[in-house]
Amino acid sequence: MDSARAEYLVERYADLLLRVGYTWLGDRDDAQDICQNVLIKLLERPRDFPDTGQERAWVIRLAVNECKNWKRSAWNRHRAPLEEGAALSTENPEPESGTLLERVQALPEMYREVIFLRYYEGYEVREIAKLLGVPAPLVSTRLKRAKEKLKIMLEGSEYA
Amino acid sequence: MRDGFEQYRAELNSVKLTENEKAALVRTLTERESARRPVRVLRTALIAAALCVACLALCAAGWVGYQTATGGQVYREGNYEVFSALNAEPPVEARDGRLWFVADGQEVDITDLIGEKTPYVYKVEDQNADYTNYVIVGGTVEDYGFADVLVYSNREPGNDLAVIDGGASWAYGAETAEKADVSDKEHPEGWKPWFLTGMEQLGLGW
Repeated sequence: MDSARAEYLVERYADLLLRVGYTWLGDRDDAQDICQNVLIKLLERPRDFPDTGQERAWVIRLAVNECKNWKRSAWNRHRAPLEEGAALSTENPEPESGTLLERVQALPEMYREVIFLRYYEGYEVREIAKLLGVPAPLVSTRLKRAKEKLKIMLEGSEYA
Repeated sequence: MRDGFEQYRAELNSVKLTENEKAALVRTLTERESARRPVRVLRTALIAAALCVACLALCAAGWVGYQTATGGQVYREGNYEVFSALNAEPPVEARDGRLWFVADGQEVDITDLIGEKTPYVYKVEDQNADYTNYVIVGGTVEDYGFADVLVYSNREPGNDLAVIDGGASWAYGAETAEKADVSDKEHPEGWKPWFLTGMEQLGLGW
């Protein structure tokens, strides 16, 4: 194994992958698994891209697919954490109650994923549509509804 | 929303690996043999309140009482039953724009048999005296879901079902994700129409 490449990938993409995993799955420990699984795939299946932007988009797409597969395999829609799972410590604690991030995370998945891609990663609607494999108008609708829901959630708060 | 997403970006930036975690990750990636983290028993989806989740020791013991069509497993320990979806696999595969039901050794093209309100219901023939196992599939190629339903013959009504669901679209609807924590019979509005229709066909309607 090329440790230099592993170091490069970790340095360049580990935090991004963690954030994608956290956004999609809502759990830092799960996100860490996603992070590692995708990095393994990047190591096993290296690809050349004309620019770093396309490479980053590909990495995000891999991570999104990994999250979807993770959910299917874990069957974790209605979930009950094991006690030992709940007791796992994290060096980065969950965001404090009431942070904007936590409120975004409280949105349904289809809304928080578009919020992440549009307002964190800065993708345009058509780029998000391509990345998620859904029609662009659907992305626009989800963004609109996500912002409406957030606006309601934030009424009266410091973020309003 | 004043500068709201700037704040969101700043807070999400705090979700990151520590330097120690990154170093450990590099080591793990470099040592390919130990590249994958240990499998954790994390989640299960339950309706039956009497079921509990605590199966690491039982998995280690390797004793399986019953296996559902999707690979979910029911164990017994004393007075407890433990339901694990750890080894479960989706019973549906999307290939070339078609949906195939592949559980229990089947290979059925169900693309034209299902819809948003129309389920494909499969009953497992090899039934156990204590359980009856069904798989319900519904939706579209782009937005399908499935539910593995385990009916307990020895339980009181209201405490006789276990359901695990999954797919591109979960049986318990994404649009009602805020209600996902109350996945019980008292909240049928959370479930997809094809699931409710399927349950009705089975005489398990809510």
